[in-house]
Amino acid sequence: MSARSETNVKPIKEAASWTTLVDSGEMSDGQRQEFHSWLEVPHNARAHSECRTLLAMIQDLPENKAAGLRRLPIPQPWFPALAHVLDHPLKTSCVAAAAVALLVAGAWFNLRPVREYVTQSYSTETGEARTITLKDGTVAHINTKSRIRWTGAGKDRRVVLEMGEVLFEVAHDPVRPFRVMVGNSEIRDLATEFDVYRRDNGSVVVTVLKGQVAVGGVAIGSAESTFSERELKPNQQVEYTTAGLVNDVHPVDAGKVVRWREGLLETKGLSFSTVVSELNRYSTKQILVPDSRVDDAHIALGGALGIHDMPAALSLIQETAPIVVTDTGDSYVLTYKSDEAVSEQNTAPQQNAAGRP
Amino acid sequence: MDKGDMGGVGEGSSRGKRDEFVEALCRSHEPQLLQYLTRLLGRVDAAREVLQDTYEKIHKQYRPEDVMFPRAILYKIATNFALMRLRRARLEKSIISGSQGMEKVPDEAASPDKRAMADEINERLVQTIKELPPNLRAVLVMAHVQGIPRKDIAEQLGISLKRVDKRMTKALRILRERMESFGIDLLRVD
Repeated sequence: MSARSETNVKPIKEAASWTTLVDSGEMSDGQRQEFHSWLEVPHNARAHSECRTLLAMIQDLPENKAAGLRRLPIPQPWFPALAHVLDHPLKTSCVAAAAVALLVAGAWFNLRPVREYVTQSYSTETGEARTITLKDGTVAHINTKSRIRWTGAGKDRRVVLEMGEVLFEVAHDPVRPFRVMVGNSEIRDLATEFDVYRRDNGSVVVTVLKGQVAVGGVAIGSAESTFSERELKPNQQVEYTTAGLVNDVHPVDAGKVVRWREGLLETKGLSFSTVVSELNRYSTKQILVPDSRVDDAHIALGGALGIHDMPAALSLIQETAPIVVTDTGDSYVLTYKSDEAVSEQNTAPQQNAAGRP
Repeated sequence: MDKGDMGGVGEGSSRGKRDEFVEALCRSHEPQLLQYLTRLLGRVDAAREVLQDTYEKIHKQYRPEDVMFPRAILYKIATNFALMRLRRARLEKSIISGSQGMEKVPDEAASPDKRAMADEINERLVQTIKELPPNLRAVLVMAHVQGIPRKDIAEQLGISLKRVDKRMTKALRILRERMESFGIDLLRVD
């Protein structure tokens, strides 16, 4: 058996690095050719297939087992700059002395605990989305134009949502509840998946996908909480402002609410003006609706729109609704299509459909 | 279009179930699988053809109730077809024919043991991952359990992309060796 693993070591090592290179998306054409010749050896091809299968199995682990892995602590960077330098071994010796000095200084000033209090901020630009893992293993999917700050320390797990929207997959920890602070409110839970969206107009929307969360106001100074605590179960949503509840706990299709993770906006059940303001979150070039007839028409769309391709979303809207889109260069202006134009439009899609193969 | 109607009444439902299964598999993994195949083969059109072959094979060969590791099967078969394709391209160049490409996947009936065995394999896998050095484990778990993009992993761990790749490679190599030492043949997992 030992003899067998010895002969296997080489292809396995190579298979693993080829697999990583393929996944990095940075394989050059030359490397790909080299990879293809390497694959010609059946032994190599087999090792490569095994690596690929292994990764697929890891990605497909049952939820309870995957949760166990997510819960494991992630080594935090001590000093990112230092880690970066350590990646270049040649410089290491020069850094060693400095590192020792730092360690001594750290001991002197009792630096280590300080790290716990250093807040970490994560933010996204307009149209950007990213996924990060917080110190406790909680995964945060951050939507467009958003910012969160981790302020947890010791027994406290706390995140401040300063703006925008985040979907949290909370790492299980029965001892330390996970809290999201939004303005003067707090969302608290043990282990769940929920989405918090702080709208530009100041209201906060909380949607639960899994588990259970409690939403409540927090007294700030003399100002008391404006509503009593609410408990949310999966597929429930609540919306509130600093002044109180806007929309009490109600059922919702939570999966559709968080389709932004797939780059989509589910339009079913949304008013037209909401669709417009939602699309505007993802683009610096804004949609303007100066024509009041658009709102009066109570246009109901259906289906999903891509949120990262505004022209495509707008041309879809133009096809299905009595709307004319004008691109003025720095914005998109929507106007209502007059009756005559609508009747023309009514025949147009039919011709279109018939014309399709 | 409605394949279910073309079969007999008795067969209709099982075939419908199989269609549904294959379709669900496709839908949930297609973008990733296509990306992988494109990166492997270097061409989108070739990747799409391989994808099509893969779906057909799964459709013909697997009953939903037999499949314990859907993603593993998908990638294994797709990789096999991709390899066959590469080999064929090469052979066409040198005008030699006759390749022994696909290995035969045994067509066993589903048994209750199968589920238990799958649980056992998953348990071993999780244990092995847990025993990895924390630095390697973190990269692997972040990338493949949490689905965090490579760039974000580098940023969060404060390491270079190159180091992320190195840790991933090492983790993969160790895992592969351990799984073999347990006597688990990854290419027979289904």
